[in-house]
Amino acid sequence: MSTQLKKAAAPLFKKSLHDLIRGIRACNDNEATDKFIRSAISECRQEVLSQDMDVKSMAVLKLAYLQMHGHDMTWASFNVLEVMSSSKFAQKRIGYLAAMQSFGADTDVLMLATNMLKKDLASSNHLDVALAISGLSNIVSPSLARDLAEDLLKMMNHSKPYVRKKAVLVMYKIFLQYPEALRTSFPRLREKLEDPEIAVVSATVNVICELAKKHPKNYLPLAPQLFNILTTSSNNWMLIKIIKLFASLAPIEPRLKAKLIPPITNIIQTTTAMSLLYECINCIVSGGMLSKDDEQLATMCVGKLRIFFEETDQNLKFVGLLAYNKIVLTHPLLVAQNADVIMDCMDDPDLSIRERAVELVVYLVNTDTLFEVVKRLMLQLIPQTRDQVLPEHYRIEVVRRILNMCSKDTYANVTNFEWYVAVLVDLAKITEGVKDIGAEIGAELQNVAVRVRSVRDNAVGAAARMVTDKDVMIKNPRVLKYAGWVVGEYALYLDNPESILDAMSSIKPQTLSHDTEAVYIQAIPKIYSQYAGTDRIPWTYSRAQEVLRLTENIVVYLEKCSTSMDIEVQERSVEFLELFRLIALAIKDRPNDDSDLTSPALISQVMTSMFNIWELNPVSAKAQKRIPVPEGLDLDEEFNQPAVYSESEDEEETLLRELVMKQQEQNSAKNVNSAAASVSVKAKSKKSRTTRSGTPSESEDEEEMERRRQERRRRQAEDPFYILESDKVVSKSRKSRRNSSASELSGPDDPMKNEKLDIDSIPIMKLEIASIAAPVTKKKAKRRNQPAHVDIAKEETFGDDEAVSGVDVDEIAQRRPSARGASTQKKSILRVDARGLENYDLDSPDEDEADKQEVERFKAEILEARQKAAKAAEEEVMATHIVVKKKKKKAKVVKKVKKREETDETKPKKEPAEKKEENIEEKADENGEKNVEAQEA
Amino acid sequence: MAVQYVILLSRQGKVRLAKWFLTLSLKEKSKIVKDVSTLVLGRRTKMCNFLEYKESKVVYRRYASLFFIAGIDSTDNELITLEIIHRYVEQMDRYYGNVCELDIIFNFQKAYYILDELLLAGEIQESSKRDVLRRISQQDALEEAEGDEEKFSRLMPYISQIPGLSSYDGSGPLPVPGSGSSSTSFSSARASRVGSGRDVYYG
Repeated sequence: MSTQLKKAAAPLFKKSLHDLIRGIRACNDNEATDKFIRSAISECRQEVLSQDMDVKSMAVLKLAYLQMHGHDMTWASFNVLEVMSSSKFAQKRIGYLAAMQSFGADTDVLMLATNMLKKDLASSNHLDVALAISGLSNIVSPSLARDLAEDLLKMMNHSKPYVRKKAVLVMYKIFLQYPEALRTSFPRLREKLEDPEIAVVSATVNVICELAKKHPKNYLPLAPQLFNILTTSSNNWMLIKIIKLFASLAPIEPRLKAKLIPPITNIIQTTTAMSLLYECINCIVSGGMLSKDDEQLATMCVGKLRIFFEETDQNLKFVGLLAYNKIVLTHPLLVAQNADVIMDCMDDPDLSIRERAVELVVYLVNTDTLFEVVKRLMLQLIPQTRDQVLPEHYRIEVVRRILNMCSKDTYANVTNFEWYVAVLVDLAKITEGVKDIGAEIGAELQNVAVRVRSVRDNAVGAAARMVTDKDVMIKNPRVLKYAGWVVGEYALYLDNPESILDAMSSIKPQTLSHDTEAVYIQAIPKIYSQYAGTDRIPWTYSRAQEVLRLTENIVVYLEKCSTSMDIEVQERSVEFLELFRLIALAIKDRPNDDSDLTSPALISQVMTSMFNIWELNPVSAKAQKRIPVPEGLDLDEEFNQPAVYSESEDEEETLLRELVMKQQEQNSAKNVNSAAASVSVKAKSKKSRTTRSGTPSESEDEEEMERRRQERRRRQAEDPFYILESDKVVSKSRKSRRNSSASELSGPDDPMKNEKLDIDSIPIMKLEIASIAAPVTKKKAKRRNQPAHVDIAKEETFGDDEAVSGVDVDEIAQRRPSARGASTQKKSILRVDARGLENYDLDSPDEDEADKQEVERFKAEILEARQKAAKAAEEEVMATHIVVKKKKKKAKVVKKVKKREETDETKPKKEPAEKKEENIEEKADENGEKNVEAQEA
Repeated sequence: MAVQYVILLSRQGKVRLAKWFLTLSLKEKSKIVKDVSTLVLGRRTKMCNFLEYKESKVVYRRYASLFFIAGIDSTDNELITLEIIHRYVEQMDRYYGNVCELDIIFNFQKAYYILDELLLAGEIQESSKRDVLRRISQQDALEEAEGDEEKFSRLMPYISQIPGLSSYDGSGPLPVPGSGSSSTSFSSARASRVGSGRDVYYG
């Protein structure tokens, strides 16, 4: 008996959720847990198929629990749907819970859910309705949104506020999926702002607030109603939302600002809720209500925010700093009055507060505080104990901020550049092993060396120490690229160039990155020319031997580099390698005693002339663009006539094509070579800029030109579309080149001649920019309140300075938000996809509406046609009796009628009503006629 | 979107509740849970309750052994989100009566139901404290009414077969042999059905 009871009741007492959870908790290790869960899931697989709804729903509940822990339950989607459609509320609740947890955009059973949801939404039990709405908020898909928008619109007018508020809130989700619903439901949404129940009004404000973030223009008409709520409501939850909503509206309607400021000021002064206070200040700032001349408003905001720092609450400090960070853009001086509390946050134990504070401090430092602030930040970077190392991202952040605040406005705040160079050296040391930041420190050192002449020897000394320091090479190699450049460019300032050369040339290849290596190879000849080319030391035998030793070291180093995989390193090293080999030979050729005290010409003249002619100055990145086009130069005019192709070649073309195919196969290997050649040409042009050498020696020039010419000729020979030069022409062009050919620059009337033209012989005219444009402005920085007067070279540029700085300010203003916003461009999974709403304009003509009208028109046409057809049928009945006899006559009549129609059309419209009737009759006649004809046939 | 997700996390990093107001795949969800857990668990007590994660903000607060975590949009108000979290904890405290982690573990669905009454589509839907609980108790009452009915109808055929009870007609209290009062039997049966384990664990 009792067994029978047990058996019958068995489904009731299968493993409950409780058992499942207890079971999982009882498992000690991961393996056991996995096993237990696997078996539980396979049990559930059976249970969800059960006919007993209790068992089924319990299984679904268990699955929902497991889903929370990352176990897939999408396979049970259909069963979830079954449970959702249960008539029992307890089961329905479970079903909806599971659906909310597990359904996604790709759940296919959602298609089946529409009717069920419709039924639940129409249920007489308001709890069912509420459940359906809650569920829908999570599982809504575009098609569900489309199908259920109407039902939800009804629910917004439900008798129970409980349902109304839910319906209003879910509408936002509907709009996201189906923006067209916005048009039909907007009036009702607007109504809900006047709902007697505060919860419904609050829900409506929430929805509109979210909508306004996407496309504020649509919701401006609601401003009066919203303003009314703002001034009358005392519900802080809603006030926060409504203020946020106004923050979205204010930027597009400037008149709102004057309206909003009094009530918001009132709230700021009276409220005790920090969240509301914070939201108000945020609204003023991000709503664009704080322009530069709103001194009073800004003072109030800044003053109120100070309260945040006087509390011990870390959260308030954090949001306070966030707000200051926004205000500082327009009112740096006001924020600076609170520098004391902000500086305190710089040493806060909480890193997120520190980061915000450091971000802010960059705007607040001045000549007096810079020293102190940098010192405090540097101290943070030095780890006190081994285990107290700050996270890397924070250290990078701090270094960046230090560099930022020092280099701001071309070093406006730095008074002592020796100190700054020391800071850079220290930073390079502290940040050993921190990725990438070395390059930024190095660039800063380079910048100082270039711009601040007075501290240049200092900077060069620092760079030299870095280059010779083995530690730096291992721990912070990225800084060396810049240090290497500095020691090379300003080799004049080196105390001991010999040791630098030794250090540089003793580096094993590939210990440094390629770009650093390339810089080193460029720096070595510079230092060498400075060291060996100096005329202060007499060329005694011992000196010659010393130089020879160095030269040979360099040759060895360059030889190693010349096999580098990096094209830049390879090229630079190969070029200088030849030069240094020549130099070594020249030194060896000298007598073995002190009889000749002059240095070889290759060193004293050639080498020095390569590097020491002009000094580099910082050039504005925009200077290039500002160089005016010289008078008389038309950039659009073609100076090379396009080639004229003869038209009689058509029949030859197929032949040629075959030839090309063959040759291309043959040349594929050669093409690779030529590609490499083009790369090296590029590198060369780059280098000619960096070396800014004087004129290379004549012989080299000649050789090079000859080589290029031959290369070109070879290429032309391979090119089937290129008409080969006859030997005569070649010799002629060669001759003409030697005769420095002005005559060869023949007129454009002869395109063939142009082709033959020797390009190298075209004289290159020096472009004298100074004569045609405003002179290059070399402005030394003049700064007020700069106690120690330091010359900082400003960037060279063209045109008036103001225009430049104006542009710069604009750019900075643009850059600032984009720096943070740049990453937001990426698709984030946490971002709601609201593209539909962003482009949805309520004022724009409704496409649907237009479509509908068109459909209506079509319908009308079809109807008319049908009527005509009906009439025609009537006529036909008549006609069958008469027409047989009259056939020929009728045909004539038709013709006549047609003629009349034509003439009618040309005439101005008279008596349109009559005409229409006539036309219809005529057409009917025609139809009748045709039908008759068809019958006869 | 005000709140993107709410996660309840134990101090050991076990998920006790995860409610998503965005539609995400299981994989994306697990990734976020994992990232946010490490971030939050790494915080010390003296630190502020806000974090930045990707383009969103994470607002968290620790109550006893549980971390309550909410993800919000970067433009949203952090302070009010803390209020929402606090409100949720308050509601649960009232519902379960001095809530503790075990309550939430064994009645996880109830925790979801409460959250569904507090937030909808990520927005706060009811600012009145009493209203939320009233709705939940309404729903529970409906569930229980159904449960009572059903339990009774399910057991009826067997009750009539129990010796000595064959005369029982289904009305009035059920005389169960060996049990003190009929009402306890019913309520305990009900308790096991709903899955409440409190009396087992704390009784």
